[in-house]
Amino acid sequence: MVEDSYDHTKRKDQRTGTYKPKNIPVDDVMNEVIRTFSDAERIERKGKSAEVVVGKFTVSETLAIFKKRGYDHFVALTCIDLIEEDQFEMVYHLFSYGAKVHVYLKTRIDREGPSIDSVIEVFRPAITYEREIKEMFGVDFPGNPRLTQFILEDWEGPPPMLKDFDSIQYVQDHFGIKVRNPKTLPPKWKKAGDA
Amino acid sequence: MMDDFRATEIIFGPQHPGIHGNFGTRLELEGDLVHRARMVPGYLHRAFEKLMEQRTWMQNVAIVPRICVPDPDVNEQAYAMAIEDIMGIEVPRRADYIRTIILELSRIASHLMSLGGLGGAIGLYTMPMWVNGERDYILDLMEQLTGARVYHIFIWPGGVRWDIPDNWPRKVNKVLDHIETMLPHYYSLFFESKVTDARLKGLAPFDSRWAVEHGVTGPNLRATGFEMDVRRFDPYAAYEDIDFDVVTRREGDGLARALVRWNEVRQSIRIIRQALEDIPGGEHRAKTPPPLAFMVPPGDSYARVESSKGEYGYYVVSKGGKYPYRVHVRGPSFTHGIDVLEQLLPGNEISDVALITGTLEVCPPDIDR
Amino acid sequence: MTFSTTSWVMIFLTPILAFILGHLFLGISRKFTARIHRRVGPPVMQQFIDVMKLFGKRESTTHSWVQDMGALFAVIGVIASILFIPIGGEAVLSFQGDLIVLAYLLVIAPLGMALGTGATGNPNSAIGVSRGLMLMMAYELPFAMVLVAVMLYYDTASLGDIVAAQKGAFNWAILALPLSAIAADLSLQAMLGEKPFDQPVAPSEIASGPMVEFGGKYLGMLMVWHAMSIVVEAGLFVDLFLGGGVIFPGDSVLGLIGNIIVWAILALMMWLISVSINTVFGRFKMGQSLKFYWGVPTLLALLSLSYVVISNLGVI
Repeated sequence: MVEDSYDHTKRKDQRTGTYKPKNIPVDDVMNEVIRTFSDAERIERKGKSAEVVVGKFTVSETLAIFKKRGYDHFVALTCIDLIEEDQFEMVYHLFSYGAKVHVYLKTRIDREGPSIDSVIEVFRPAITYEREIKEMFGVDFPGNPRLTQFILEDWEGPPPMLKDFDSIQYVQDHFGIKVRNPKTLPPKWKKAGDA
Repeated sequence: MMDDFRATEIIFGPQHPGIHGNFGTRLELEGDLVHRARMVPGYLHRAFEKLMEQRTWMQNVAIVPRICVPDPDVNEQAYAMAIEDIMGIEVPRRADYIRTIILELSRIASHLMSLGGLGGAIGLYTMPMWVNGERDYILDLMEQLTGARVYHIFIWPGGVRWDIPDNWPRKVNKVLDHIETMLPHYYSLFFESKVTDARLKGLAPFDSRWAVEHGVTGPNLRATGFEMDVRRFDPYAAYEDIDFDVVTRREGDGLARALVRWNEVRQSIRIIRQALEDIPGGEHRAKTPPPLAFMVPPGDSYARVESSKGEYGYYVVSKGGKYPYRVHVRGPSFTHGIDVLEQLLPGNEISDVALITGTLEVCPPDIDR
Repeated sequence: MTFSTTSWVMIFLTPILAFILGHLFLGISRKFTARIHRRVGPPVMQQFIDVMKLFGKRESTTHSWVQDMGALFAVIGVIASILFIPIGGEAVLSFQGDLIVLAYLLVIAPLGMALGTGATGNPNSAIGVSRGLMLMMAYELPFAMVLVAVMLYYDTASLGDIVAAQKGAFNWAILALPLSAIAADLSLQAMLGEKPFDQPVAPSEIASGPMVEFGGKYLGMLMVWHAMSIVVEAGLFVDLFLGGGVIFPGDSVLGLIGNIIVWAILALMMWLISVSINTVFGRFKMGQSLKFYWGVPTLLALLSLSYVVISNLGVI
């Protein structure tokens, strides 16, 4: 198991200087992203937010551009299981303390053998989000050293946050509990190919 | 890497008096010093994100406050804001003011509790007893208004559940006056003590650049001197109409983090007083579909609020219909409690482990969810 | 030294008295702390109930006999030391040099606890024990100097003689050697294991350290040890500096009982002073307490000692 080490004797001090927010309008950065990557596409949003959809392989570089332009607060990384389209959508939430704009950076990956490069080189906080998504959705993040067991302990079933994971069935199979009231059954989501 | 034979491994939590909530830490010790720390969350995993996909929009209102125990109202607010953004609901001004009052009361309660927790971590048990006594008055106020002490389920998409009773503002003012007169005593008990100075000064310091790089938000970021407050730069509820100071400190150490929380209690009192004074009349709830037929059009939205621990966010994805498609909760402790703590703890003494966790105000429920 | 019948009776009665007084002191301090915390607090007799309950428990874990020995060691050590403490002016065992014996006996009980906890193999206990020994290093330095100063001042190494020498109005050693008294009281804080010097049993750091592997009868034993050691340590201070509580002539039984009550009240006062410091302070780190004890208390003790030495030489 590969684990990174924080040996305190070699550890750099947390005194790295004062942070200065950069105020660069989101339109400029968006234009730069769209110029640089041909597959990037901007989607209009209302309010103080912007959305861009990029290809799976340019996520790291796009994030690096955003980071350099002051969008350096990595808010969160969300994975959405789009089962009907047989894809996962990864949403990287960024925020600029200077321009005060929230950026949704979205990308799609295949649902079969899901894998996307880790972005921890660009945004360190992603390390924990990727670790959670690995466990909850089964998405692999090459380059992340800490994809170890996170919240689920001794878990043997499929990744539980997948839409086709039947939690009621799992409970009945594993804990011997009969679910009595079928009226409250949650919505069932079908795979793309299933009728 | 140190060889394994020299290290003592200590399992610090969840069965440990020093840990904050249901949370574990595996510490590798070299003598009295932490050589390596590994956080072990998951003892409070209730699968709320999965559960929310299987409950209707309005049923989820009762689930969200349970994500963060000490400061539950921010969850309701962020969840409601995200839905309002997707649906395009305009919240009545009066509801905004009532929400502001609730959120700030909750912030006072949470800050007092966390300062009490710091007292507990250094063994000053008088502090938690005293401040939790004050917190109880706030819980009483909440009970009078919402009927519940901890999980209020009061802020709904579109407004609040009901209007504030006539005599409630008077009671709020009374409690605030009481807390304000007691605060100097608690200050002298905790902050004017030589022991607190010796323990908290220079404890696990970091700078604002490091903090932003590692996703530190909230009071922990403000303690590094960077004036960042969601209430100020992305105002929600009634904060844009209210005059308050964003509390900052420059030092970035444990004492600065505690002092930022301390001074925010005063600011919260100021905000509540203004909100009670300026509260406009009118409806307390916008027109929304009935709860049983509550549908949200397709769309997605991220809503952020400033909780007592940092930036709290809800990313809500709707595909239309009665159920949310995905709700992602961004708890502040998700970064503070895992990665930041794992990097701050090594090199500190074992005596400081509970204290550093306390000054970062790690709240395990919002890691596990 | 021959024992009379009275001495034999006293050998049994004194530990019982110390047992009752110790638990009473703890019960009162729990109530006292609760009132500072704005709580109601448990009843004063709660400490007795707790100990009785613990002794009524069966042991469900297996461990080596060293742990049994350790707990016994602690209790026996403290019972041995209480016999040297003059209670109301009368000690069971009193001879020339008993103060030096006592100084060693005071260390026996913590060492017994260290022995027992060392056998459990819990890393928290090991850290607690090493902290306890470090703390002992810290406070023994000023305290030993205080003992030497008092012994030199009264020109005797017998605690009974020291108490007897303080008889009479305003003749207490606290007036003669105030700096020593202050240093001794500061050392008492760590000796009693109260904040800011309770690192060996810090709950939020090492999960109560040595106690973590003790339960049932063993925990009961440790509680008895703790309760009685309070009486020993607070009583030692009373005997050294507050005239041993002797204000009535001790030749009648009534006078002796009166002296014992006064002694107990004075010891309770010393204990409550320590408890009130305990309630308003946090806990130092280990290094900080070493620094503290080798600073001001050592300096005070040293000043007082040099005053005694110089005045004995006849310069002043």
